[in-house]
Amino acid sequence: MAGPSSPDQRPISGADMLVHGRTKEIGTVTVAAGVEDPTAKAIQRGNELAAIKAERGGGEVLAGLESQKRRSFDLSRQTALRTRFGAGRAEVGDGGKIVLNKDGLGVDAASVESNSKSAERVIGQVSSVLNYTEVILEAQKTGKTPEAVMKDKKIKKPEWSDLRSSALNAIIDTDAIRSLMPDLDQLSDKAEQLKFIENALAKDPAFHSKIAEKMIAAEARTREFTSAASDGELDVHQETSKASKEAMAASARDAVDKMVTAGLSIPDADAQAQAIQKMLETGTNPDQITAQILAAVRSQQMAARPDMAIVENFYVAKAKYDALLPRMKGIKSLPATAQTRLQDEFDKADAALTTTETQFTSLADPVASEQALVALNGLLSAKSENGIYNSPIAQDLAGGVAARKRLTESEQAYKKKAASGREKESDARAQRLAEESDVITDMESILSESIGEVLSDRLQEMRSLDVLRRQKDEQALEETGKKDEAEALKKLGTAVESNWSKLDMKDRKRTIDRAQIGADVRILAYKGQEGLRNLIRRDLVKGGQFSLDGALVDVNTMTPEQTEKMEALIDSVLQQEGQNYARRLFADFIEARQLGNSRSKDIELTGTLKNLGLKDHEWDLLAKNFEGMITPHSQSSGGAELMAQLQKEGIDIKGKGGSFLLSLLFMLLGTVGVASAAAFKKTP
Amino acid sequence: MALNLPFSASEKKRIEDLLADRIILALQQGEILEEVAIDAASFIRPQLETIQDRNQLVAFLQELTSRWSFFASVYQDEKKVELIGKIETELSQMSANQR
Repeated sequence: MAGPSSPDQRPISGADMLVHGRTKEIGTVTVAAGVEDPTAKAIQRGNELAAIKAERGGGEVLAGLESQKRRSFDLSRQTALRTRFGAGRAEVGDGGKIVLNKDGLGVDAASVESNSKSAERVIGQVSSVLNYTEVILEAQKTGKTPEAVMKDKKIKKPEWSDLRSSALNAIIDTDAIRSLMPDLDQLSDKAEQLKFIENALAKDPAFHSKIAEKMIAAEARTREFTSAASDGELDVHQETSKASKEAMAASARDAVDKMVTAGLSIPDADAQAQAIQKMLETGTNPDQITAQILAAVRSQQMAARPDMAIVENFYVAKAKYDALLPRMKGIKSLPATAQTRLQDEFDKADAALTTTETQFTSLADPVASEQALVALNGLLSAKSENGIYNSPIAQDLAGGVAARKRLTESEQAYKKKAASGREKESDARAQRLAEESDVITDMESILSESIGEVLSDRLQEMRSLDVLRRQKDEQALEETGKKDEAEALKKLGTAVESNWSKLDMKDRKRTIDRAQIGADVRILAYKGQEGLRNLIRRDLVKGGQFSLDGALVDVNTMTPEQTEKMEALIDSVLQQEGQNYARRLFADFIEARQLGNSRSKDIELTGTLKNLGLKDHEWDLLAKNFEGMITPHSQSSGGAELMAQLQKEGIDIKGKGGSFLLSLLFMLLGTVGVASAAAFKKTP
Repeated sequence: MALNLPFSASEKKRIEDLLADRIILALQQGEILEEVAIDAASFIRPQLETIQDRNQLVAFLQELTSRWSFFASVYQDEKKVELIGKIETELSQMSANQR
């Protein structure tokens, strides 16, 4: 398909590619006035996926497509996630702020607070990137201003410029970016760095989705946290205690009401009820509480009514006198000592009776006083046959006594449970805090991992598309009778796929040879184009044989003519494939640096990180020798579009003599489109 | 009745390849747009993780086809495999009974 046919039509731009996070077939999809042809885009995507499927299988195709699914982790989920930290003590307070209840935490309070703060910090940081990318993607999609999108999405704080700045700085401060560009600060000013990261990475929906996906996974893990809340049984005991105390209070009030109704002298009914309630609650033996309360009330009433005391004293004295009378009848038969003792006792009883009788008969209304005493005794002192109080007041108090018994049992159980519960709760909290710390630690690397995965995905895609492009080139060479060239290209392709980074199709494990990558990059630094030719030559004569005139020839026994022909062919391959070869080496170099000392089970790193560390002058040499080469392909690409966008924003990557590493990253971020364009430009 | 074989790792890979091929073909033929492919893959991936045996696989493919008809051929092919398995089992039972 031809390229743009009118000024109204343009190829799918690199920005579009970055928006979709995927490569597009340049030159085959044309759009009118900025409107994409979705069917052409689908067909192109199908072709790309076919290449990926051929190299990495159907599972990878499905995974790649799934990764394009826009994930989100909105404000409410961000807030809810914060409350999962702090041993279950965090709640959302006014204005959505997190409030930590530290009551009863004891020595755990500091750890709980520390976890809560760490979670707040890391969730805040990741959320700022999520919210920023959400806004910028939506703004890009709808054409609205970021401020308008923020309003739509109810993101009130901070202001857009602050949100953008904090998010981009958080990205730049990640290990992934720092390990890629340790001297980023020296390479360009801050504003340029932010613009670069914004255009090259943050506008990629895959980046947003990966972060959101990891936050969703973190959120899922928090649902598995050990519960550190109070033991439910303790709550039951506390409830029982509360109910028991209420029952005792009610019982005391009922008893006092009855006393008032019966005409007892109760100056302050509430105080009387509280006093009885206190006795119910604090009495040492529940079985004796009724007797103690009744005795106390009786004593109180007798003190208040001296006439009843006189009546009672008279009857007590009379009872004693009456009891002694029968014994006095037989006094003469007693021994002399016993006669004297009994006589004394009787005389005292007689005297007491005389005294109390005098007092009794002196009362203003002895009959009324006697009736009052009888009534009091009936009300308080009545007992059943087996000696249990069954007076009306005692019956009222029975409910309180039963409640007191429940309270005693409840308190005993509570103390027992509280001790073991507190211990259990403390153990659970320690476990919970450890689990929280694990998730917090993992969340701290979410940004870095997401950046790494976005870069790796682009690299993987570039690799797949490179394979497809080479196959097409080989086919084209064979069709035009250039069998030796096709064979050389094939051999170089095999080398490119295994020199620096090799995928084992059996276990899907990628081995990255850091020593080889570092050595080859240094060859490019010191030898420039000559070094590039040397590397390509090395790979083409590997095994000591070279395909000439359709037959394999031993390079050690070649005739001068054959050697000349071989060298010419190598020059031809250099011309055709040199740029792709160097780009691929640099891409593997960037990936190896970005991986650091990763311990992923899917990656085996040989050599050391030191192999990848270049000296300043080596960077300068690379920049001098390859600055032009990493300029994106002229046939439109993600790289060209990205560069145009950056230039539009005042950043000239090419002008940054010392920023070769930045240029390399730029190349990686934008180069996918180049491979794609080259791969598909010959598609009929 | 055909044996309800467990859904092995190799079987899973085979199904992934079949479904990916179907999606790719549907895209290349302009039968579906990229968004549909994304939705379908997002549905397939987690579902495949939960499948334990062949019965569940066939049920999943039926569900998949009811959502996106372009998967019908995969479902029908797997049903055929199911049917063949059933016939083979019955034949071997008949053979065993005759002996």
